[in-house]
Amino acid sequence: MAKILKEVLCLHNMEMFLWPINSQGSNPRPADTRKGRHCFMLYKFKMPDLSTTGDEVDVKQWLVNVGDRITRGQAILEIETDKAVMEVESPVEGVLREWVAQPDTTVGVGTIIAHIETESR
Amino acid sequence: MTNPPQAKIDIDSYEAGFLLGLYERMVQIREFEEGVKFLFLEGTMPGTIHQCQGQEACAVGVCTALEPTDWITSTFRGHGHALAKGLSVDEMLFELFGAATGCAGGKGGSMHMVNMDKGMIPSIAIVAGGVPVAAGMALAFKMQQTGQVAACFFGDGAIAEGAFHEGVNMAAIWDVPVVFICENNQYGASTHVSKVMRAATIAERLSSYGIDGRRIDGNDVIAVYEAARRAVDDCRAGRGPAFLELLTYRRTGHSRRDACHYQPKPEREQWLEYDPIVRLGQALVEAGHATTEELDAVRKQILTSFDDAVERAKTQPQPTLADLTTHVLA
Repeated sequence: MAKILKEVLCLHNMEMFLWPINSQGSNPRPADTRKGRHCFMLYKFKMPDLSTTGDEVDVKQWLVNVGDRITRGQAILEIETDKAVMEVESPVEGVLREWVAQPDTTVGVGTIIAHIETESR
Repeated sequence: MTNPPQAKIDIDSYEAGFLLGLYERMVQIREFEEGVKFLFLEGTMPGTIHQCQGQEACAVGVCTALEPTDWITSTFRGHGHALAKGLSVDEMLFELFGAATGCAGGKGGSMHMVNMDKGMIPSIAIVAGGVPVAAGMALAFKMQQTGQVAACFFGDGAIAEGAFHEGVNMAAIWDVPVVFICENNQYGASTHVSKVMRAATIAERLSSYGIDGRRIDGNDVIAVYEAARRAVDDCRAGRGPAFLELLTYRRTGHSRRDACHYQPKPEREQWLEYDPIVRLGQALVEAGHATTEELDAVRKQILTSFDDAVERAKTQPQPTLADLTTHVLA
């Protein structure tokens, strides 16, 4: 596992890392970034509280791929709550670096479902 | 399916400053609602929220026709009404964050926006709950001869409630100065209005109470403003109550957890084209009152100040144990 040089916990889900970072054994560094240390924000997208009664939702399918640029408000994930199938919108703009939530699994509200690289909001 | 209105917005008789003010206020409401939506998706803001994207022209058109001393009642979908009546982004956001500095001291939350100094009693989350309250407020205005007017916002979901019919009837028989405003966004939660009403328009229903009601394009802020102006003037001249049916469309689910599948796609797409902000923006550009870049700058400025307000909201003091027993009557 690569060394995290610095980790600053910011308020509300945002963490700042200095390159390199390796969260799950894979190197998420995009091909287009310059070499060397690169400061960026890795936004941990947690499952929003979209269920009407329970604390869990079913993950149906990813609507974007790792490496895709996503805009704020873009539907990126399809889930099924106790009430309906619905799309989850991204609260930030950036590049999807990693899917944590896997299709056909159940995840709890508040668990990290994706890592999105952002510049700043 | 109710087709959206087609007519162009007629802005000829208004000055640029007034029109830009309407535009800015509508964008303010839209960006507030969008910003709050993302705070909810991030998990920064708990609970659920009921939002009014798409219905901005109703709130802004009506509240612009009111005096600061006039009073409004609102609903669970009340952020737009509050901003249109002059509440600040700060006091509303702080309230959504449950802060002691929020407009209801952090005790009300999204569904109870209030500022008595600005003429907004705490918004009432019970469907049709504001109708008899507004009738009572207007009765007080009449008896005390204050010259004030009450404006009562509710949705199409309220029109089959008992409280609606009782409140409207009492207001009618007492000739009180209240403007009832039905924001007909066509869905009461997930139920289309046609499933709860056999009459073609809500305005028809009001005529049976002796109240002259009209259906108005609720996505045309000028049409709403002009109709509200007439209604408010009538009420102030002792010819109340009045009624406005504002035909509009909700761009979001009933609440944040509602996927909104009941809005048929063709209907939705058609209505989204008749966005009240886009329509006024186009009219402003065509009339030469503003350029597209200037309108973008308005939006950016509002976004920046919203983000600043969010940062302030995160560090506001929360209510203390001692606050538990304040503002409690029983």
